[in-house]
Amino acid sequence: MTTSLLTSPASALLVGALALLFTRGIAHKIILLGFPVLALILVFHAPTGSVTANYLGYALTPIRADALALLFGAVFALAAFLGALFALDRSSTLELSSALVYAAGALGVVFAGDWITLFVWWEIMAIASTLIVVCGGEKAYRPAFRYALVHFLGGVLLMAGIAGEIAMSGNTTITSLKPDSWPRWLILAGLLVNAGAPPFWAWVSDAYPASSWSGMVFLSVFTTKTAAYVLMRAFPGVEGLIWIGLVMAVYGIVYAALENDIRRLLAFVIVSQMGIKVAGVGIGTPLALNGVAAHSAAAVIYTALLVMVAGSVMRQTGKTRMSDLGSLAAAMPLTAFACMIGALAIAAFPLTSGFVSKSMIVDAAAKQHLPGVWIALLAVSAGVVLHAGLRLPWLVFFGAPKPRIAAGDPPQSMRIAMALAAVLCMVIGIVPDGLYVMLPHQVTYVPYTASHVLVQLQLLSFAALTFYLMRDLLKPQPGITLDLDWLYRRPGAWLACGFDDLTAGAWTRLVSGINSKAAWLHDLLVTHHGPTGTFGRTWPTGTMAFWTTFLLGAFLLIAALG
Amino acid sequence: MRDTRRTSKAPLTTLTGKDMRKAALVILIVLVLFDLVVKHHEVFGIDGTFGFVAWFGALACFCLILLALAVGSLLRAPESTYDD
Repeated sequence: MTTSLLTSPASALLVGALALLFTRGIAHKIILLGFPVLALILVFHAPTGSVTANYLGYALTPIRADALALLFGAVFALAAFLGALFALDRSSTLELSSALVYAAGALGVVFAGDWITLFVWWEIMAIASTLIVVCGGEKAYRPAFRYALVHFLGGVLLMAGIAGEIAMSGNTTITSLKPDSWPRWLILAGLLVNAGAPPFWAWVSDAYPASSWSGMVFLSVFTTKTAAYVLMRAFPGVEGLIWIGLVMAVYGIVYAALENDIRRLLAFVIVSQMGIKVAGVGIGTPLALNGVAAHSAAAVIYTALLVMVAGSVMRQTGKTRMSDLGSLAAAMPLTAFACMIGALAIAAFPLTSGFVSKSMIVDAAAKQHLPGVWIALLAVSAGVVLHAGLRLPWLVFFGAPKPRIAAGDPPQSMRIAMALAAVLCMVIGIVPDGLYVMLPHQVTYVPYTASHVLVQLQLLSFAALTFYLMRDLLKPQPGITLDLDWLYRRPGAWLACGFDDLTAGAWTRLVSGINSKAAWLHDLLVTHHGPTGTFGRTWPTGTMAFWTTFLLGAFLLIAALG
Repeated sequence: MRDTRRTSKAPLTTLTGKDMRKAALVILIVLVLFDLVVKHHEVFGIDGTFGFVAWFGALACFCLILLALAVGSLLRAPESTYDD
């Protein structure tokens, strides 16, 4: 058991994270790239079945390597490698080390077979990801603090739910649950916080864009996708998830269509894409769950690619607002090409990874005869042109030229990372069987039929036509769109300040009351026992003799009378 | 010399744009016409009708843009709103 734990992919990344702190130069870079590769190798050599242990009387399963875990484990390790390659020039050791710990946490969750182990890795992820946000610089401190608050709230909900579930059922194993008791509702709520579901979805667009040009690549990969993974494990087929997912998908599209900052836009895209996955979990059929798994794998790569593109633009130009950018394709050709591949993949264009994965969820809704869900999923598939599918590449790389921006493609390691991610998007789309054999359920699915390809081409091309005709209405405008976080950043903050003032006033009154009583007592003691007080001053001998005689006389009188 | 370059470049750009728009229009029409030869897997009835996905894609995008504009008109605020 000990050997299995020490040779788990998560342990390897933890060792790598530690080693990064004590190395510099070429050794630093080798460790940064080598340990994710080692983790990837260890994923494929993970012990088949489960590794179990006992701790404080609880049955733990630190490693459960089934098909779903292996798929997510492999994709996470691969994404950690791509992120590390992209961040090879990053000088912040804290960010890079935290990134490996973060990836370790995600792999730990993926391979966890029991709720206790899962929770430990879950919180490791929360701490490590907060540190990555913090590494974005001084402007990131407040978003990082809010990020930590939301995630610790999610952690508290999850922990309370796990404790209740174990107390009621006595079972620590992660299995499919029905939300029919308060602990299970709490577990579901804790998972949905990390998934970017309402009402706490704003943490994604608040914290992720505050991170550094490299940090957001890691952030975009692990937290939300890990939540999708655990939702698949624990709550498949819960109908409410369909509607939560669809709301997330529409929210992400609408807010991204209004957004000016490219990294905030991508944060909304992440929520929108997560919505499709959450809806897929809610549908819950084997085809839908395969679709969620495949779409998660594809989304990890194409989202990372688009975030790398945004990071490259940020690093090379120092700008992230689309109103300040435009016509960068000539100056940054490879970045523009990578952006186009990412845009095609997220739009589920044929021959890309999005096409062979997202369509499974849409088809699952049709096969379950859910017309409302199917039509909504089709609509959000069309809506992708409003953000990363067309608007982002159009405005940043091909739109109206802005005053000359000094820029060029980023350094070699960043270019290679983007190229690898782009190649993966295409390879998965052209040869999807490599992905399909790793899916958890045995379902035959043929993506490349004439009908399917035609449907997708018609959907995207006519959505693009509408976008083209209405493009002037979606020009980037300065400003932000108020979100649900306004509730805790404005009224919530006022309430907190009011409570703070109230408690501070009460405390001040309490302390001053105690002080005045203490002063009164002090004065009383000084009056009677001070140097000049009745009991403190030196009495004349005659007075002493008189009082002694008086007391003795009184004593004798009492004794005689008694 | 400079004036000549401008006049020779401007019409070429316009022509390319027009050509691209014409090509895009042809592609859109051809894609819809393909519905006559490709049989769709009809599930709900409407999904098998001629040009359904084409008009639905355009309509869905139109509705989402309107929704975005409505949300924007209600909730847009200056970037300094939170003073972070």
